[in-house]
Amino acid sequence: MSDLMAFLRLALKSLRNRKFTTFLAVLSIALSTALLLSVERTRRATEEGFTQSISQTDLIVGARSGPINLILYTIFNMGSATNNISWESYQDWKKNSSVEWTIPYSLGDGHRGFRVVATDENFYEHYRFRGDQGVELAQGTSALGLWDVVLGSEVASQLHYQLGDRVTIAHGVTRGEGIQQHDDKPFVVSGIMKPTGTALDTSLYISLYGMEAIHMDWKDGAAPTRDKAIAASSIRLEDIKLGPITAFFLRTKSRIETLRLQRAINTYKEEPLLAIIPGATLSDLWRGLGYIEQALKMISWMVISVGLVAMLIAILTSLNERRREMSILRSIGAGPGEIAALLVFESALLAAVGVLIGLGLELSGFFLLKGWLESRFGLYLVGSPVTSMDLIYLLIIFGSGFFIGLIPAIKASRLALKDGLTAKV
Amino acid sequence: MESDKIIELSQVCFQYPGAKSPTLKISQLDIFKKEKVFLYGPSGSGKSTLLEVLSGILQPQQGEVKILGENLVKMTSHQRDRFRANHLGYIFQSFNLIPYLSVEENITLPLVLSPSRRSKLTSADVSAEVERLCQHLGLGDLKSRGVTQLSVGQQQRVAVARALLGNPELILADEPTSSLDHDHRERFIRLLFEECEARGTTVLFVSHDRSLEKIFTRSLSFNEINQGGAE
Repeated sequence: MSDLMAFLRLALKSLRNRKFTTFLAVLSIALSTALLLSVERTRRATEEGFTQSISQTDLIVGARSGPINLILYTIFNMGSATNNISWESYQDWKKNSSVEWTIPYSLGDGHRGFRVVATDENFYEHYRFRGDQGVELAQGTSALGLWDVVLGSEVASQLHYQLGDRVTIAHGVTRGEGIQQHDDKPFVVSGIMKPTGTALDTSLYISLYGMEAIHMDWKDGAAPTRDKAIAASSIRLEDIKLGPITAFFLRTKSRIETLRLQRAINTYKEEPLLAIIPGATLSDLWRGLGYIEQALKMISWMVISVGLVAMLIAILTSLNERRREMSILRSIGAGPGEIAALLVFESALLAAVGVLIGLGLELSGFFLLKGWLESRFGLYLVGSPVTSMDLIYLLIIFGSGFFIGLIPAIKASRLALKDGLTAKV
Repeated sequence: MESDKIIELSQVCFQYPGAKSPTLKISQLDIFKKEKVFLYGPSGSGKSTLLEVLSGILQPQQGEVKILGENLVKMTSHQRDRFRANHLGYIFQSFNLIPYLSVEENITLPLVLSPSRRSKLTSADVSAEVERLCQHLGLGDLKSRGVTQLSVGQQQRVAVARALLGNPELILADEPTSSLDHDHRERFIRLLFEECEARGTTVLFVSHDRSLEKIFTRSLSFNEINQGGAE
């Protein structure tokens, strides 16, 4: 045992003698390990963030179209609805005995490229994402009044709006200034939301009454002429009769009801509706984006290969200088096997140290940048810091390092046999 | 008197792969215990090859190589490595030492690879023996020094200390004095002999320089014992 230790000490001293190349070999493995793990962690965080964009909602209901379309325009602010749900149908389902709550969503207007969502108090109370994260206001109050608007954090920061600022809503979501402005009926910023890391940050929220009010004097999708326009000051919340909405979120009293309710909504006689289970649709959508993930992974594996090759080169180039050393070891009784073992140990050690430093780099990097990644990119760290998948990757890297180390080891033992005691260098 | 022989070569023939003629062709070579044999011959004549055969690094195609009564030819390569670690000390012409180890670490290196040589000494013995060898070889203050800081003469003495540690029965020296000047050569060999006499170690010393011949107990001409030739 002490012989083995002495043997290993010999290998360590030899490595220390070649500090710089040793350092480079370890660094190349450490950096590539850190990169692979970062990609893996980012992928996990992205997937988690994506599939957890909405939680605790059992069904999303919209006019009949495709599930992907429905989830895109409700959760991700992308695309648009083809049709509306009548207020009566909405009320019908809202009052259904197995429904706990609903959040209505009325879309179609925008403000300087951001969407305007008309909803009610249930949105502030019940909307959840990433498990139990709810909508929270950084300042102000919910948009429950007729001319109130709440800004998503991204909207507020990009447009530099403050509480009390007046916001004009445009008809349709267009970049820059809308063609048709509801400029006769401006809204006032009543609240600004905390960042959520979801698409919620890039919308403005008004009440269903507000949405109804700005379209009150419109006829057949066209702005009123000057004489038919109704002045904002003459509209009162109590007088407004709410009309169709775009979609609604639904929570059942008991999860067991979900499938039955979904079927009931999908076969609703009064109006063609579509109900989807958001988690399932989000997973489908994520799988469709899987190629991005694959590309990222492939790049990391290529980086790992380069790291391993760098180590191989570092060890191989040192072999020639070490032939004399090998001869001395041979003269005092080292066999070719022992010479090979020395080199295998060397590369295994480099790989192990590289992998551990890489893991350390990645973990410390992620924890140092955690806050920044969350606020800037909406990447939230979830689960344990090191997953079993990470450990498998580390083992694969270490194993490849070990096997690559066999190449110089075999070469060294051949050289040792050839040189004998008279290495001419 | 068979048991007095430490080296017995008979009908040994060694040819490098790809060579046209054998480098070594030795019908008989006997060296007795405690002898200090000087083997001279021109450079490139195959002296180093003989030493590699004697240390079990090279395997002759024919003949018997008996060291301490054991036939190296019949051993596996692993057994020959063990045998070399346990019973032989080797001193090179130059570059005898591992540059990143200290003087003391270089001296104790054989113990790393030879359990049996180590078992002859307890760890207290090892440090006492290293200390004694260093004192005697004039390396007393240099034990923890890096070997690259030493003069060539000092390096060769470290090599002697390494070859002697753990009392191997046979020391093979391959022109160890060629990098020393004349005065140092003789002093170096006398130091080596003193140590070997104290331990009863046999020395086979190979050189092309016959000026040192007279201090050995026996002198052999390589060309007389070897019928082969490099060319």
